[in-house]
Amino acid sequence: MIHRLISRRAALKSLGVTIALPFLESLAPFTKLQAAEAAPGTFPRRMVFVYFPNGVWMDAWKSTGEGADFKLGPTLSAFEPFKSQMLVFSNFADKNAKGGGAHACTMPAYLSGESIYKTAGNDIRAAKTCDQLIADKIGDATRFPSLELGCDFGQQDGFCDTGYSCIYQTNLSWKSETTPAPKEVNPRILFDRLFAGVSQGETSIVQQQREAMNLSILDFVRDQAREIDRVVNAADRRRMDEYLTSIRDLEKRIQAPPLNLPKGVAGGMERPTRVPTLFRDHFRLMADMLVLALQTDMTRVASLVMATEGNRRSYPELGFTEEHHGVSHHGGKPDLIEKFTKINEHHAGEMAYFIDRLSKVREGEGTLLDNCMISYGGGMADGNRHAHADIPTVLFGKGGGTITPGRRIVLPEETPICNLWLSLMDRMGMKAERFGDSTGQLTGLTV
Amino acid sequence: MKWHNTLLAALIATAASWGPLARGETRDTTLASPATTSQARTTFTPAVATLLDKYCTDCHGGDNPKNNLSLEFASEQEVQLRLKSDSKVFEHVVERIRDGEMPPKKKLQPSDAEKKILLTWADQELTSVLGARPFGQVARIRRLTRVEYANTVRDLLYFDDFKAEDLPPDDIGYGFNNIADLLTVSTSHLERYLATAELAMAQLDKTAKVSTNWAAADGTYSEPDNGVFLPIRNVKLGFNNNQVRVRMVLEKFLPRAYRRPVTPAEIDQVMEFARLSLAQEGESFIRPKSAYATLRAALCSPYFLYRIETDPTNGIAPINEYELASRLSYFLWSSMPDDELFGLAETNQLRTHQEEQISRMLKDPKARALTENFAEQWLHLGGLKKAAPDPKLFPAFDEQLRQDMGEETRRFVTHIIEGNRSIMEFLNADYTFLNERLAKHYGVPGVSGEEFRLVKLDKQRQRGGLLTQASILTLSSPPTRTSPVKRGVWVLETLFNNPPSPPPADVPPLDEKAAGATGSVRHVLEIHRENAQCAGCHSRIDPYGLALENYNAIGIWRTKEGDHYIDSSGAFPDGAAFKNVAEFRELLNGKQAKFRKAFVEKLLIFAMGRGLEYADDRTVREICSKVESQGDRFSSVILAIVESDLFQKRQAQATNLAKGN
Repeated sequence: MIHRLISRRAALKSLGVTIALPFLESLAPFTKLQAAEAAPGTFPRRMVFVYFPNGVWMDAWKSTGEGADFKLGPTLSAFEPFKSQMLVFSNFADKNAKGGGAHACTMPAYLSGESIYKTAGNDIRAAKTCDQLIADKIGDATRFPSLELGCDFGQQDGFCDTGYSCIYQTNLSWKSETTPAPKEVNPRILFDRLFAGVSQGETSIVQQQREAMNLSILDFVRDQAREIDRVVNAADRRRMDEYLTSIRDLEKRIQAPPLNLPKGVAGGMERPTRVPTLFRDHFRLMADMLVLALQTDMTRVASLVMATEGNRRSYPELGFTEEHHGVSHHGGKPDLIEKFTKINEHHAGEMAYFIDRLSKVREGEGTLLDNCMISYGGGMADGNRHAHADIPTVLFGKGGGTITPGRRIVLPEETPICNLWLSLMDRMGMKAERFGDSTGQLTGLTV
Repeated sequence: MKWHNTLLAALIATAASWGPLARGETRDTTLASPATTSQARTTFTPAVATLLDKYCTDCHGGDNPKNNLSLEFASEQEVQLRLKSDSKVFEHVVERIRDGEMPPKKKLQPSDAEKKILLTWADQELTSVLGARPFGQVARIRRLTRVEYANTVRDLLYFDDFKAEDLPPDDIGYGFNNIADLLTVSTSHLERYLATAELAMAQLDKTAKVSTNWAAADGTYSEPDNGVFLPIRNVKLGFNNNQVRVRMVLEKFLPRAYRRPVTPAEIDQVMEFARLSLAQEGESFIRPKSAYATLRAALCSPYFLYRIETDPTNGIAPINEYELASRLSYFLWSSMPDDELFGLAETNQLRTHQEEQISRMLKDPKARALTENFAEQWLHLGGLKKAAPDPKLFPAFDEQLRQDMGEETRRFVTHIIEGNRSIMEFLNADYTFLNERLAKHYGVPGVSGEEFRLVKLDKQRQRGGLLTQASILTLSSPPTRTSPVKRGVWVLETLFNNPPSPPPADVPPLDEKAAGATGSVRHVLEIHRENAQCAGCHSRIDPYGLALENYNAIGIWRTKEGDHYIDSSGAFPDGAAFKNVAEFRELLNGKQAKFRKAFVEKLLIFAMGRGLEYADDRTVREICSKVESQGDRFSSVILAIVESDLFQKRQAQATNLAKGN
């Protein structure tokens, strides 16, 4: 233990010099790791999964046309400026999201392609999701193997779908079949995670001392977790596995070379002090920070949950108080459909803000968006019927030149969404034969 | 120099005799379940088949069985196969038959003897599939919830209050956030534990009193005022001397942090941590710094963050007394045991004194956790914070009223708990707690001022019991109107622990325009129930909600909705009919056995941190009869739960049973 700590101290000293770098549009990836690994002019690929719940009004969502000659559905009109940067898909399905508790079954199945075990709490079981598989594979290269963000904690009291624990419909990303990777919803905590010590007026000495102390604590508690691990059976061991895994992740994060972000790195962002009430304000804060994290290569994979499945948020800023889940079960009534569609449009409008930000960050000859793959969608198509065929799916970015956007792709009916995930995993360096219910890689992402 | 504490010595001595971790004991986890293989049996006799055929399969049979539940079985094998795929449905069947809800009243009814044949059969089948376990298993390792963590840090460091709101929220199961299997740990958790421990140390530094005795630089030591570490500043002592001091701090602190005796080796471990981590900063043992470092580390230790219990090697055995102390304190206080509980555990006298300890604990201010943690979750009171009545339709509603509504219910619950009153008052109390605003809201005269007070409702037949409180009526209403369905579901979930299945997809919300045109929500629901697919559940749900139609979406009494007079009549599936809300409340009061069972189950889920299983059913019934015989006093529920085997014992790990595969 002591040797590592001493070398850590030496490392902190040697790296404790702030390198002044210009910020924003010409910002290159910062980390030493990145600098060492990437040849000049090449940039890592990044993958973000953005999720919205409760399905859509399909008539308004659906785009028309095929190939490069297509017309965006009304719900997607905010994406008009990015039409050449996006692929619009038709006919993806997530058939393993089916089940009695539709919302509970949908959320964990979306990025895993696997169905969940029905339980209200004892013996939960979902499946590892593709963002976490990618993080396992390439996460070592960055300070954060992955980031999980959201604008909604999910239900924190009462009952969710009858017979299903709320853990299912609040968690999109799962580290293992029994452990979710919970999303960060509080912008202040995310800010501190990303930029702590840089923008808070805290001296780097204090921060270094804290990090050294935290490393020692992690060493100390790891020994104890191992003791416990030795004497418990398999069912309880997974609790200690989670704890030990978390220790490893945190150590890696602390030991990563300092970012040495220049002053005002958060784009002039203030440290947020509260969780904004309006969805727009909240989403933009989270999106801004995610753009910075991607731009500075703090992470290469993330998930971002606009709201959790079955969400009952109401959006008074849209001029009505009926809640989201309620209007999603519109039963074909025009006034409810209109309200439902307004919420769908509102989400797409904010998504367009995120895409706009990514497209304004220059990377080499192109933009950050060019090196990204940003999926936008949800696990339900028609929310009214809890349908899982033709789920809303859009993909932004060129994946570092591996994707030709600007098209609408009409797939054979009920093509597993996992075919898309498998193809994107592949582009992120996570090669696999199959994933979830995939039947093969998606062809035609490039022309 | 009183620096060796006899208590501590005793603790350490006992640690060696019971601590499995100290012993490094290995355990046998391969015990076979008694019923992993099911032999051919003859449980499913022709007599049983005949009864099912006579009373059940008309509806629950054929190609399109009601509620998708078929009770047609070709053979014993089929019974077993279907049971293995979903034993819950079968448990539900048993309950409905036992409670006389099935077959429905208007159908042919089985005799008591016939019922017994069916129930005995069902019980045998369930037992053979689920295993003849005496009770369900509790996880050996349970993370503290966010609430438990905050309370534990508060009590461990003798703070008045401690907040841990930056920890990730806990996921919900069975309506509660302390379900063992959902208390997972992620990198975010650990990140927050490190940060929160740092905050705790900062708060300690700010709030702790400086003890002059402690500060004496001559090496003498006397007991700190309250037994907690008291920091000192500006005193630098020699390395060795400070090691001694830090060790003394730990000997006090660590057993409380780990909630069990610690071995000298465990103290050595922490001392070594302090020595190494401080060496990193080029410092030796400066007492405040080193003591803070060790305390901070202990707050991130799995021994602190998790409640860890020991399994017997085989069979069933009582948990040790330290484990019992924690079970009691986390049940009643949502926090760690206090010195008195630890003291009794140390001398193995807690079990024999548990009844008086329970009554002491219920009187302690920390028992407010039963209201703030248990009852708020049980009643879904968190939903009140999210209720968003439309300001145009309900101008009377504002943040102050929201607060008042919650306060009424909290005071009401606390009154029953602290006064050790009958739990039936949750259904039928003839009093409540009001201030002027809420009294006006209810139309109760003669209450003035901000202060809440107990108000008798004997002349006021519109209110009484939880169901008529504005909090409940508001949290179960959508923004623009009442929802008899939501209210009905709330009653079934909360008061009867028997939630209905979720609705199938493609069911629109109520047609409000149609409701306006044709009369009322009631009328729309009537149409809805004409659909056979809906009738099964809605005949159970709707009566409870329709009876409450005299209360609007923020709980104001009304006799008209729009231009139409409210009709709050209805009938339960068992045929009992009511003409108005007063008669409804009479009938509700007649459902005491069901409520008692539900309340026991809710408290038991909360106490054990897990959902109940069929194997627990016998225990639940035993607890219920004890509680009934003691006049349904609140403390009798607590005591009966604590005295049950579920709470007192653990069993050796059997084969991991039944995940539906």
